Amino acid sequence: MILDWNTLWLLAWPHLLLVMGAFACLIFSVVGSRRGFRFSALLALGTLVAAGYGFFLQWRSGTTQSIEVLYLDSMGNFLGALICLVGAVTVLYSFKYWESMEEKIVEAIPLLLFSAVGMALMVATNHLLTLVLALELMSLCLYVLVGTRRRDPKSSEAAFKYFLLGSVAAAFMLFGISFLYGTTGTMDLEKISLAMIPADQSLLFQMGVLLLLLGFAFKVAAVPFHFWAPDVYDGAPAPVTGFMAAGVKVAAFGALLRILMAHVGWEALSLRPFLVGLAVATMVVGNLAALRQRSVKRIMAYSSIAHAGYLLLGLATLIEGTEFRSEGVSTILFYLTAYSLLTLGVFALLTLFSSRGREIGHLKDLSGLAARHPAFAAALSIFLISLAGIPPSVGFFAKYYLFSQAVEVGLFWPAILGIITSAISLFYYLGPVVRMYFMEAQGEDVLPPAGLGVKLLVVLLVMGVFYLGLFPNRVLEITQKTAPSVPAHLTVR
Amino acid sequence: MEWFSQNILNLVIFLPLIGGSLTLILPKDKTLWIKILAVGTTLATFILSLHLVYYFQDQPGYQFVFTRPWIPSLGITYSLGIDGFSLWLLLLTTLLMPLAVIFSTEVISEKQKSYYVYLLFLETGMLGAFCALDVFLFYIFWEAMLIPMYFLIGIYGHGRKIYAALKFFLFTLVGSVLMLLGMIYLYYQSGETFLLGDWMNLSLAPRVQIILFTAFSLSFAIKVPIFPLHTWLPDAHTEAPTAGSVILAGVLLKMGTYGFVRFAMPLFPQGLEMARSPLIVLAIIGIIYGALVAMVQKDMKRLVAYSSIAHLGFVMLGLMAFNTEAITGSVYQMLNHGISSGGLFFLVGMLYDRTHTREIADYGGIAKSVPLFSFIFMIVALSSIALPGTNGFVGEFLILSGSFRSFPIPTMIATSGVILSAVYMLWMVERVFFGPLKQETLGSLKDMKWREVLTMVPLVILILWMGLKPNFFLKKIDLATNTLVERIERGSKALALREGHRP
Repeated sequence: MILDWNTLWLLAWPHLLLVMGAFACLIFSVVGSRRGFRFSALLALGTLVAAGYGFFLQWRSGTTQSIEVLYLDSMGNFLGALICLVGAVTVLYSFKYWESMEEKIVEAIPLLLFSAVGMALMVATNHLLTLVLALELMSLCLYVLVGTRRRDPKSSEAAFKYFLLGSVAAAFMLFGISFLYGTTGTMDLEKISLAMIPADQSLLFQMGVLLLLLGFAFKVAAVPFHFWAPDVYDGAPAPVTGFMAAGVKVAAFGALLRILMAHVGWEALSLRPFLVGLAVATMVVGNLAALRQRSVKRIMAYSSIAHAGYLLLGLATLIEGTEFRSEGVSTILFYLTAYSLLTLGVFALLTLFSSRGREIGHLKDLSGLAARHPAFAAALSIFLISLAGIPPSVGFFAKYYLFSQAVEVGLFWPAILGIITSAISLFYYLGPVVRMYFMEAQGEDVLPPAGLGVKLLVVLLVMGVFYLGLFPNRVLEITQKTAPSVPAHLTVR
Repeated sequence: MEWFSQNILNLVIFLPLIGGSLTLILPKDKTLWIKILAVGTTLATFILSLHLVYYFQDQPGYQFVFTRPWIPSLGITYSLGIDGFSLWLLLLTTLLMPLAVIFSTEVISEKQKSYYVYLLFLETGMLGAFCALDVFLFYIFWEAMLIPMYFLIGIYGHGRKIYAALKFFLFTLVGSVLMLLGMIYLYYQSGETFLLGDWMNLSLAPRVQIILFTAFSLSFAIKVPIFPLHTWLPDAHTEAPTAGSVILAGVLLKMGTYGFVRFAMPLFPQGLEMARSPLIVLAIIGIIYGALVAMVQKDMKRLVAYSSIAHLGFVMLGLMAFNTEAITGSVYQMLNHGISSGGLFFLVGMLYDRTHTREIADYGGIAKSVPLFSFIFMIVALSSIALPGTNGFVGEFLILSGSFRSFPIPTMIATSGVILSAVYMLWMVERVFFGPLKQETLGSLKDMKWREVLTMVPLVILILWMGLKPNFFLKKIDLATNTLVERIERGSKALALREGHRP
């Protein structure tokens, strides 16, 4: 298919809408006035909602379109909608935070949007070049966002660390891609797969795949590539941390799904031991290291690492022998949805608690919150306990679904380990709950009144947690329908 | 009416949840309305559950069954039903709840709203767990119970409440994790279903059965608690607020033994056969150890807590006898223990509210100043000791005579626990109630108020009723026991056959 503007607009209009929205936001933000900022935030919200709706429409039509650098299928659209949701929720709850900051950061919201564009493109491509470009777009915006609290040395340090290590990871990835290109002569994952199915894979090729995966292991903070995460999560402004935790995970795992699906049929190279090893290390280290943390954001960083471990275990259920398992994709999609919902919930509240000019830090900042803000404390507890996987919430169901899939493909011991570590995780998720409910407040701590939007958002998220936990049917059907039944390169055209 | 009788279990289970949600909406300074709502909800639930007793048919199998697909693509069903085991445990729960709520109305003075919300949510969890016939559903209710109990202990407890709450939560959670794994395995074995009825038809290899039995029973054993896994209990029971202790001892511990009779024993009869001897030994250790440790306690609440370990040791012993008499006795003893230790926790709580001490040494000779209280305490204590004429006697007698038929020597050792229980209980009663007045202030103690009498009267009536006319209760339990015993016998025959073939 020859790429021209008409076809591009027709097929990828939600992506283009996001790009246009991002530019428009940038223009309004640069005006610099308070009104300009508000308008740009509103515009960003509108853009994200519209693009999300666009992805939904595309998803509903159920078509699969491939144009050279873009691959637009149900999965990409589903994840795109999820990313838009993550972005919209972040804009909604972070709005007051940016306004209350001493440094006037006008670029935050456009950067958020550009980052979302990168994420949405990452999950909508089978072309490695697009993948790298999208990933860099996402990451560059995030590097800047992490450092927005300019007067706080922790924030700058976090940004610098993230930037340095992220660049190294990107270099690894590019290195790997060059191997793949060198051995197959193409950057299109479909063509790479087709080229490799009959042939034996050379060592160079295998190195390429591994390096590519290592790059992603860095992005999702899988152990042993996780060292950046706690510092970055801690140093970044709370809303950015939330956006990063949820959005990057969705985008990176979306891209990983595509890469692994392309791997179906490469008999000589089984990635499962590699994935399982990575998953086990990540689950164990993430959960155990979190136990010793005393800062809320660091706890959430390790929690995010731990959940990356569970998701990696989910990835290992994609392929059994040489057979592709559609149910494995559905598991990941469901887990990503659940995780995003819960993480955004936690960070919506942490952002709210940080909106008095002082960033939330040590656990003791939460002491006695239940007495002053019972509804917020209850909501935060619900999100945290759900992340630990206690029924009847979505966190439990997502974990159950994932581990039962792992057992089905015979990954019995990793599943046991996963279930045990998730029981351990309760210990640190209860830390904030203990502070909020069982301890008295220290000093005067008055939150600025929360806006109606945030209140509504928190209520909706809590309802979502229980609705998806008790009646996961609807979303389950969606993820099962979204998961491709055959990998792209094996579809008969 | 048709609709009503079909949905009766749903109504019973979810009425407290609805009541709790309504309480949540009420503003928190309207404490009177909150209390009225909580008392009303729990009483209404109790009355609704009486309907179950009235219409319960004397026949084996599950009744009032309600089954609907829930998450069909993963083989999860919403299935409820009760038999002779769950019927009475359900009733015990719905009875203890209004008593606990009524008792709490004047005891809890801070953060009242959330207190009743937790209690009501907890009730839904407990009732649901007793009714669930789909194991996934059971698991949801089982775990959901933890959260309200955690907050009840952590917020309203005494002393080292945070530690006790966390210990309670983690112990139970770690146990249930193993059960979850077993569940996932059985799910795939049974062709992707969680229905208990379908699981019963599986024929599993003995080796698999013992592993699964261990996985399931570990989680139940923690809840019971069986001897080496009991360490969470004294902390949780002692630090919890009175109503929390009553619910913990009265109902939550029964979850463990109920798990044995409903899931672990009938599902894996051959695994059970192999695990029988260790479980008997642990039950006996529990009986003796619990009694001995109870004897040296200085704190009344801790004493009652340790006595629970001993009492549940008897229950486990009876379950392992594999005959109708002992198992029926065990189930009966579950109810008895719920009533007597629930009652004792209430009574200790009343004393604590007056004097703010639970140390036995701080009391002495209070029988003169609080005669009614002492009288009721005596009755409940005697029920706990299993004096003939009280409900405890019927239960322990059935357990011991049934077990004696199966394994005489261990039963004889266990019988010494009966004597020990008389020792620690009566010794405590003597030190607290009789003798000279220890302190001047004790002489002016106020006797029971009408609210406290109201809490205790139903329990005293039940102690005597269940002691003198046990047949009304036993008849319905027997039906369920027979089914269970048949299953166990078939299992042990199959195992014997298998081992017989082995050279």
